[in-house]
Amino acid sequence: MAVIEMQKEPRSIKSVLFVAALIVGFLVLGGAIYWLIKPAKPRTITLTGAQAKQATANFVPPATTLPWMPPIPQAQDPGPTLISLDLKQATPRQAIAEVASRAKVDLNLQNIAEQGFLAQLTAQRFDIAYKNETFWSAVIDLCRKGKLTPYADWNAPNRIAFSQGNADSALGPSVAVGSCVVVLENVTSRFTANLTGPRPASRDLRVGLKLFVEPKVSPYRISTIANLDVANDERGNNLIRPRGQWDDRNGGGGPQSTWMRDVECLLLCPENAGERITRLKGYCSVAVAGPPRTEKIEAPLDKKGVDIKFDGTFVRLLEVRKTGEEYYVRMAGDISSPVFKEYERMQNVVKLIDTNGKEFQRSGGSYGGGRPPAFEFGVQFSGAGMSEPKELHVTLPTAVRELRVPFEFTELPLPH
Amino acid sequence: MRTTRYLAATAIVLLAGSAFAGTPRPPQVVTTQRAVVAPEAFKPSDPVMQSPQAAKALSATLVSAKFENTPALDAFAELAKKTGYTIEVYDNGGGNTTKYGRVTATINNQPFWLAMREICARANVGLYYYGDSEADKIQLMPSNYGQQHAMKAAVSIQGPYMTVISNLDRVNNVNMAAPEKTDRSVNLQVYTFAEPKARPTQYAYQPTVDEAVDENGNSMVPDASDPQQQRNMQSSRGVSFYGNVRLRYPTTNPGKRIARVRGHIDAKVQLGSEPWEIADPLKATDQSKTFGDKKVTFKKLTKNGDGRYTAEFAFYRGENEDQQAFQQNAFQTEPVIKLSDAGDGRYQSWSSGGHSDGKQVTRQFTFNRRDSSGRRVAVSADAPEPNKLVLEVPTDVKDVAIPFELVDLPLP
Repeated sequence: MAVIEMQKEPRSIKSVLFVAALIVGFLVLGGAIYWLIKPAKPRTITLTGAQAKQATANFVPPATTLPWMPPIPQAQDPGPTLISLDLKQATPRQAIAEVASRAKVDLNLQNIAEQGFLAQLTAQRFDIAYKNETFWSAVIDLCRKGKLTPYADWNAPNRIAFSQGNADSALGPSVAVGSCVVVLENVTSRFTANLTGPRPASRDLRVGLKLFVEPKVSPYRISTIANLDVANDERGNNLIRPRGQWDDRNGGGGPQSTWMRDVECLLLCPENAGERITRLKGYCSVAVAGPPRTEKIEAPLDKKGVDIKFDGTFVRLLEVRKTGEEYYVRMAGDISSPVFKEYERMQNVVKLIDTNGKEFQRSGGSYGGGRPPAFEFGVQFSGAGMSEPKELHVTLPTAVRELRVPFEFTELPLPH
Repeated sequence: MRTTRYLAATAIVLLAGSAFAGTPRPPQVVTTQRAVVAPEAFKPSDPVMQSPQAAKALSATLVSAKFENTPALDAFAELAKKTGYTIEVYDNGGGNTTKYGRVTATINNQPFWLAMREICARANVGLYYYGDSEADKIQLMPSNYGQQHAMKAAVSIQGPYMTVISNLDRVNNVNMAAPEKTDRSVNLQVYTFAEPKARPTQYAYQPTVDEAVDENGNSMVPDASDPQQQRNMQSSRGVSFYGNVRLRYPTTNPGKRIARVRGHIDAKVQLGSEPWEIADPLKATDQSKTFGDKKVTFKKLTKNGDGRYTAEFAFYRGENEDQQAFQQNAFQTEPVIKLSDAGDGRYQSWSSGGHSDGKQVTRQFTFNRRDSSGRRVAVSADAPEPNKLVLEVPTDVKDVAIPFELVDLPLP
């Protein structure tokens, strides 16, 4: 029996031509797209003396990049200070003072002082008993009883002060986590109209929290934005909004409190959003740090691209530029580091010293720019009455760590 | 059969390609919104219009012009020539080239701000509204600042004033200490521009709403008891100033549009001033001059370590003047104050402190040098020292209620 093998069908020239034409077509298309988007070739232009002077003044340096840094290591919560107390017919103010003295915390009770016989007589009194209650849980409970609100004075941000009787500042439900307490403050939706066209309004949803941290934790910085793992409404919409570059940056406003901060959960508010946020789960981020360290850079006017790294904190000196009598120190830090989130802190990273050992006065500054993970900032120094810069001092915190304060809330209103 | 397969394969490739390209975003449609225009802001019978000087200042400057594919900056130059006003790009555009469009329009005897808005809306130009120490200058927003469509929003042009809406949002808030209640409000932010001749020296931060109604006829006038309704005066820097209005959101059957918001902004308008020139101010000290019954003393001009200059003036309380009113006016009025030098330098100035003992208010003003084009420049050792300081002391200030009316606004 003969075995007849199947003969391959001869390949049609038409199909070969078709595939070839398709390939050529794609190549032409790809070439055309590349031609459209390719960067322009660098050109060399010879400038006259006056043009060169003008061009130097207007030169915009290219965006800076830095290597990606690993996430900040996590810190261990030292645990809450536990309070046991048994007071009969005490005012909330007396009880708060007692709690603070046991926790060795500095308070300013002037605004809620019960001064005078009548104030003493009319002050509300309670029997107060706590057994192993955390410091902040006890203080917040007493604030609720006495209609008090903790706040940080602008001129003494590390001291716990209290105000009385403001109904809008009443404290919402809270969650105690280690040495911290997270208070749920408000849920706000905002619809902003498009004023010049038919586009629908932009929609924004935020849940406001207040984070209280025991002073013994001594935070370096408390992030103003919460990190979210879950945010859903009853219709199953995922409400988590991707983090933007400017979400957790603060410019101006002076030093921030190290024991309390308003923290926002930034959410999406789709057109078909439900009536309730069924689950909101995430954490607040508290940065803690060790003592600062200073690196000295000699003859800074000649230096460019000097990297400084202290235990995970990274900064690069890009350049020191002289314009008239002013010196502009241009730096770049890691975009996600808590060291480079606030304008005031960035302005204090560098000091410029002249040949006589005299410190230059800061005359301004800026921040923004760079390509992630680089975040540029600059400090301007006045050179009036100074000699040439001899040293640049760069001071950064060491051992920066992140303390995560988890929270979870369910069945929150979603107002429209 | 084979041909069909080729066609199908091609279709699949093309469809896959378009799927990768994603859904095209709808193009942004920008439309110039409605303007309410009245050449007169005040009736002739209004007490404020009784003096001829006030009547002239508080009426719109009427302009006529014809533009045929004219570059926006040329059109503004034409308006500046016709009115005598200075119209410039803010900070000379920061050294960047402005990218405004061109204008084709015929303007026939219309209020100055209507002409300005026509040029801005057609050529995609925004007006700079943050104010400036050169108070009488009308400034254009540099094109790299964005907001090129800002002047296309709804406006109210009433006499020498134009009010434009810059933001409108609805805010719904639940305070979790009392979660059963939702607080709803509608917030409007407006900017008002004055012709330089009718520029306020002070204005109320919160305009007063006389009428606010949505398309369904619901009143949106805010409650008088709303704690956010304030009438405090703010000092003005330049020809523009802002205001915030908080309206009530209807509880039943709210509309999708606000049919009308009508109201006024309480302001103090300077109708007359007297310049006082101090020559060689770095050497001059303690010179006084009386304006009406008001005495003003120039104390000194000093050069600071950072290359800036600080001038100090004392303003004295009039004989029968109320102490509180005197202090409020002295601190809340930003006087026009100009420093100059032989090098054609211009100076940016700002209020940098002050104190009062009840009888006199002492105020400091700091100056930073600009170059002759108005750009801010770094301090230079070669810059000439100032040789002249001029303070414009207001001599005729009137209380004026600047009217506004905005119609057909979206209600999100």
